[in-house]
Amino acid sequence: MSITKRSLKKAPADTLNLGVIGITLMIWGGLGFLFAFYFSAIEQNDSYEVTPVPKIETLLKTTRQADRPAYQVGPIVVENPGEVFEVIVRANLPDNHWSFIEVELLDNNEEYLYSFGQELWRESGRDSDGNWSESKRDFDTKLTFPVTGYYYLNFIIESKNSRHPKSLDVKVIKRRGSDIPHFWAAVLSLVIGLILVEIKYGIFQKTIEALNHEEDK
Amino acid sequence: MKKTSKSVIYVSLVVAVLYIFLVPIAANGYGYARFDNTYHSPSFWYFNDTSYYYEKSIRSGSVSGSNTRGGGPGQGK
Repeated sequence: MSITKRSLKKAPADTLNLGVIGITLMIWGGLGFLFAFYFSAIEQNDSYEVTPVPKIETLLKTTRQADRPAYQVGPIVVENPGEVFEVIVRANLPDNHWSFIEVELLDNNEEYLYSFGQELWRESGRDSDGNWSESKRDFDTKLTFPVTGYYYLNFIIESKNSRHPKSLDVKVIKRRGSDIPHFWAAVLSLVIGLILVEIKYGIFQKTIEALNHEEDK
Repeated sequence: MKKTSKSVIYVSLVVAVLYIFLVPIAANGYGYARFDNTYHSPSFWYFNDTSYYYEKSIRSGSVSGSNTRGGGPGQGK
């Protein structure tokens, strides 16, 4: 009886180690990013040079592949429902200039579905620090195609003083799927893991205290 | 089995089930703009500066447009 009592006294308390659970969640967070990377993998990559059409012009309906106007890309072939395509648009703009690129998505009958776009710009100047230059030369958008079939993209442009770039570099990239669900699940797992590790070990708090101590010296 | 070991197994199971549950959602292209019978805007979780327009821009072949309200950057022309 006395031996049991002694061994009970010596046995460490079975407490929950939040740090270990936190590290486990952080590892799962890393795995989640791998899942997201898997779904963002490229399956097909097509490049085009497109001559965008000014916004005020009437767009033509075409019936044959050979008739495709210079402002149109396609067909984008969707073989399975839910396929994801990324559209990347790049323009070389002159200095102190802007252009708004609008991309229309059309179905097989060239009926309008919806459109999307962004403004691209390039600016430069000189201030007290010297010459500066800033620009936004490209944008990308991912689209999901829930219905199989053929789709087309029309590229329409509005520019400062109606001076449009002659051409746009367009990439249409087919992705394996959406990286959004696993990316955010991974972020959530990582953040909860970090919080638990911080509660257990207080690494950030100790680092901040050490930094403050250094500054006081 | 220790409390911590049990908790690690439970947490791993929950996250693994969550990741497996998300696989078909990811494979179906969750989160981006889509059009089936109607237009669906991108998810809150998709961070992108792109503007989306469900209604077609006014573009009737004239500079003044058709004087009806529409989408696109020149909407309401």
